[in-house]
Amino acid sequence: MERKDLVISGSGSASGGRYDLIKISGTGKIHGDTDCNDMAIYGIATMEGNVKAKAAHISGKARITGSLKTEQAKIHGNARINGDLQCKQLDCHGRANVDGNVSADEVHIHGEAVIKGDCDAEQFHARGEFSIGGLLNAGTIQIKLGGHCQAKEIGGERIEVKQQGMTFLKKLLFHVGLTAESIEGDEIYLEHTSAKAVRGNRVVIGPGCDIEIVEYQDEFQCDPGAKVGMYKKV
Amino acid sequence: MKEELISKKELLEQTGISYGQLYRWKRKKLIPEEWFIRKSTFTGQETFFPKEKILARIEKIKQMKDDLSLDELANMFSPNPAAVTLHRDEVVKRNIVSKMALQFYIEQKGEQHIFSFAELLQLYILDQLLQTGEISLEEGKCVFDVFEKHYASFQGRSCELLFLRKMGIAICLLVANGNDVYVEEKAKIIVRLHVPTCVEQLKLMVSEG
Repeated sequence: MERKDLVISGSGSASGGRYDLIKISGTGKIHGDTDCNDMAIYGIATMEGNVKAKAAHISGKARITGSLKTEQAKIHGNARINGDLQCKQLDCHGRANVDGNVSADEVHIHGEAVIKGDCDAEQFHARGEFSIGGLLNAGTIQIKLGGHCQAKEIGGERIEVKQQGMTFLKKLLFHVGLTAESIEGDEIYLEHTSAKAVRGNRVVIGPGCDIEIVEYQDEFQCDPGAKVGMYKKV
Repeated sequence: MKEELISKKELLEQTGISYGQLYRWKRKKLIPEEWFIRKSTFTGQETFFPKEKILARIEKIKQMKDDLSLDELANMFSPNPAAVTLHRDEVVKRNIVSKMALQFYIEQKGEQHIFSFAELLQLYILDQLLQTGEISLEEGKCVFDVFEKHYASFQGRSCELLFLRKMGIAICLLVANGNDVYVEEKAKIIVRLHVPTCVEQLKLMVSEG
């Protein structure tokens, strides 16, 4: 079947279906599930249903009531997805709200991401703010703290949380740090993190941490500026 | 029936795997999501697993991970059918199902030489039931029937095959997994078969050849 383009500039609505390109520059509404090669949203879009796209680029504001499945998701504006987000690469420079789960190969968060469910990835890099309601599970987790980051549980192979340089004023006005109930991994390095439990093979607790209990297997280091309630080798 | 649970910490101790491995396997879906059971304990929330299932699964992953990649392993453990077909001679030669079950299948559905995975699964399950002597050949027809018509609607979700008998009359059901089933007093559940386990066993047999 031939795929046609759907371009809305101005205001309009269309029904879902199969398209080659979906481009919304004004205000657009799409009713029903859509399947397209490219999706580019510069204006305000409401998509009722599930969206499947080879590449999705959201620069304006988009709301998807279903799930988004794509290879490349680039969010520079504001995206709200009521279902799950499934992609190979997620770049979030703006703000993303996902009510379901996120699964991706690579996740880069430069802006702000709020995920209500779990987040699964091979690589997870964040230098903005994020909040994950469930489990953050990734092979490599690299967090450069630039704001308030939060996850219920964190698990993975290599976990590194570092504070990046910031102005004194920002430090004073905002809470900058990571909070989680438990952090479990093979190699863990933490700064400015508060957690109930940290468990791993090699654990390094850096400055500004507040950890209730640390369980380690091979190695444990603790910065004098950190607070650790209890630690034991298992 | 209450399943015995094992905590995450105990599991890692017993099996010698690391947190990283456990999480990687979860991510690759080698360990199903529903096995992660969250429970609150006095130290806060902890994760538990069904002991027998998880220990068996981890043992199997450890054994096979040298020969197969994690993605291949994930395929093996997923409840989705494998994309394989087998020739009839192969099925007999490799002892996947008994000759009798195969004969019966052919009688029911006509002569055929190539079997798809879905067909093999029906055959395999029938064979299992016949081997244990729980059902008769005649009753086997309804196993085929229920699979033919309804298995596709589970779309890879796990389900169980139930076989009831009341006063000599047999009924065969497919039930979504995890649902409780209660039957009246005179009826009896003869067989309760976990289909994904059969899928897994069959995949193993097919791939080993």
